[in-house]
Amino acid sequence: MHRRIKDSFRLLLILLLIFTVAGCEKSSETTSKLPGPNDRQEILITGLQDADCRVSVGEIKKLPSVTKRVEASRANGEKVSMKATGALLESLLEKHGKSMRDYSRIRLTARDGYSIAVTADVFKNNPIILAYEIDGQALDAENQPIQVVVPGERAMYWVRMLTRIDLETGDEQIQVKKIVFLEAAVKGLPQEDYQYFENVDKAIKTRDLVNTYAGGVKAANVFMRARDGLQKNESPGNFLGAFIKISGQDAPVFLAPDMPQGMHVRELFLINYGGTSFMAYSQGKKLLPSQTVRGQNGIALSDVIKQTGLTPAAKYRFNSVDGPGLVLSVGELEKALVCENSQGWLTFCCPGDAGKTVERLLSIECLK
Amino acid sequence: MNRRWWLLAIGLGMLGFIVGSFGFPNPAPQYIPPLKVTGDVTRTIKLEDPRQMGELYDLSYQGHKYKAIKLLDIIKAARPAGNPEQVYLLGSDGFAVSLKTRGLGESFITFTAENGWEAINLNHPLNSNAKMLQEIVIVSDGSSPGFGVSIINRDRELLHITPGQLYYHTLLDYPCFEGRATLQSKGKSYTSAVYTRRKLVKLRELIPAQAGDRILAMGAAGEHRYLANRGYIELRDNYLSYFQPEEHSRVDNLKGVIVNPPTASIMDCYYEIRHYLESNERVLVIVIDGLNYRQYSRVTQKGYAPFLNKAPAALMASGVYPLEGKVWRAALITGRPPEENGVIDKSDQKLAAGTIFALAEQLKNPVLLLDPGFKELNTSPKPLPINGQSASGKPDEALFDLAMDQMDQDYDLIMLRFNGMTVNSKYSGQLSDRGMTAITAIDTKLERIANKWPGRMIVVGFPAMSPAGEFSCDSMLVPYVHVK
Repeated sequence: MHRRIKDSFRLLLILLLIFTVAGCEKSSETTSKLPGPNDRQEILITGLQDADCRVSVGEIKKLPSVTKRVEASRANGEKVSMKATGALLESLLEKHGKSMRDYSRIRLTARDGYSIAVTADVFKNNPIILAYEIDGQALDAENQPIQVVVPGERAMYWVRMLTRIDLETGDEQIQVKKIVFLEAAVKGLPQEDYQYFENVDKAIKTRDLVNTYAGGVKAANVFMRARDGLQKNESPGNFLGAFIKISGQDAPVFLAPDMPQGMHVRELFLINYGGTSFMAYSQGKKLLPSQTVRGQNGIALSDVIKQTGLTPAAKYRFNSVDGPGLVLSVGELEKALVCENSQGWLTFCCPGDAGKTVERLLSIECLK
Repeated sequence: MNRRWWLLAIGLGMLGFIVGSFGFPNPAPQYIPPLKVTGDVTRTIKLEDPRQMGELYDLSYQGHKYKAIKLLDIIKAARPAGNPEQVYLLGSDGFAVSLKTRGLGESFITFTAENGWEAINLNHPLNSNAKMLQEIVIVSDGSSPGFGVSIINRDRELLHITPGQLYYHTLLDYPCFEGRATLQSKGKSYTSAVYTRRKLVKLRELIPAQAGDRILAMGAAGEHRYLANRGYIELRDNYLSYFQPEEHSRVDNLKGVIVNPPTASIMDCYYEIRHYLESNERVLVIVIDGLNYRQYSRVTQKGYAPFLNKAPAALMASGVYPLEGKVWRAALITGRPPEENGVIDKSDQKLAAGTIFALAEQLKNPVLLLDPGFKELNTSPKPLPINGQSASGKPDEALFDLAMDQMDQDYDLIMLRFNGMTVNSKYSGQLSDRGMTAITAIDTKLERIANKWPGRMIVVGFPAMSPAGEFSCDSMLVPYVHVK
């Protein structure tokens, strides 16, 4: 009898252990991306769209997740170490056709009134993680709905109880005021031979391009985008010592003889230098939808403006390589196109209105 | 009986309560400022209690009695990297004492209410007894491989410096703006700007003035940055970082810097293969393990590699850090540095960047991998198994036979590796006769392969990888040859 009780007790213990282990496994599954009780909690985002919008924790969980082991220092010198799982703010912005690089400052505000402005030099070097899970566990009430984690930065940026994100494009943000078409621009610059693998192609110096068309402005950062989607920030020092190969295979290519090929950008579509955006029409033609209006085929001006991030203005001036051209108000540009003629020159036109044409198009400028 | 025990227990409990409450005076809560032990140590210590180190020694000094920790015990607990040569005792008032580690047998650290952390050196002059200590910095002879930062150029090692040795230089106390926080409370806004004080030395001050304007900085986590030489080396307890305040850019735990780095990099291989495949050309890449740029120069000059000598001169190419075969292979086939391709140490297998093999597959170019080293990476295709060695029993022979055999197949990209040089020079040295004989054997194979292969052929050297990971010209600069 005594032995039977002992055996039953052992069996009970084993069962208890099995249930405990099974229970633990289940609890680790329920964290991460599975629905949670705070999925309906929302974060207010300003500056993303014309009107303020709200994003729920559930929606953030649907974005691609990242898990990072991170460490930061608190003001008292204490080190905070954790494994954070969440979505990148960049993924959230991408969903709305935006990027962190579109903003000069991102202010994060918590439920308790704490807020901090994350400046571009911080988020340029580090991702911003909107964490919904810390160390494998869903956030507790003191950290919900989201804890911000900025790997490599101090804990003051790791805002708990995040309730608001203000995306700011203040004065610090360099606004694009001018688009220069690369194909037209290079025609007026000294060109030199450049050995590219077994071929000798033509190249221009980036310094010449910037000095001639960007007014010699000193930029803090140079942004480049290739047709295949590659985006790259380059230091002005590296950029200004380089070339743009404008003919032959892979052109236009950002490169330099003293630069490893990993730093080259081939099939370059855009270069944003200060307030000037250099756009390669040849790549835009492959990347952007082709528009045909009244028999004229080209790229819609609206797409050019959108891709380059040209600042919205009431009037725009369309300049030819021969000099200042046409000034048109935004209302007159509804069906405007940028086309290429048989000689390889670009033309601005509003099909059906012959008076609104600029041949040998070089640039587009915002006017107040 | 039971009742008696109960009564005894209750009685003892009451006694304990009374004694605990009134018997001994409760000492006033005391704050002990931390004393940091940093510099050339693998373990940074923060002393916040004199008893933290275990045994305390009773000392009598100038009529006072102390309970103290042996300075040598502190040094030992911090696990010095290399041989400790010097110790700095830094006080909160800026007072600093430097002592040679030899002769510290009678040196102690104690904590007193009057002087805080205090040094008592029985064998040293009186002024060595620094008070209000804040930091103990251990300076080693720099003999621990992989510890500290090495600065090289294309020709030679310029400097190897450890965190402790940085104290020999004038350190800038630089206030770095970190950010501005705001708290909204009762309709008012309270703002605070946060700064961190950083100990910095301008990199230009550490190396010769003519050292150049561009640098390639590499960090322990696979960072690989081409930067203007405008930044600082930052002291962070027991490691060094590269910091450029203007751009707020940082390479944490910096391991090495190449001043005026070579134009070529082993990562160029990805882009060149891509170019050739896109131009419908076939490519063969041969990695020679254990061949760095210096060895290449020597073997070609001394006639040990007549075929390589006849080929176009090798470019000097920079490698990647950490020094692991797997890390180098990942960089070679992705064209991205370790921090971007995700392979930073031995345990990493998954690549976070697209490989040249995936691109070849996309272009419908068949690939053959004859490098067993790729087994450790999640790549497709997997390397072809090499069944033992050939009848000669020499390394590389089986691989060579297989390569010659497979070359007739329609592969557009073949990657193979010879490691005979590493095997032969393992015990006799890389510039030994045995090592040189090994390169001659490889050179002969290269010639036969080149005669048979109809496409492009690239030869890349990989250095002898050591787990210690010393950053040097020998480990970071390799030959990159466009054989044909």
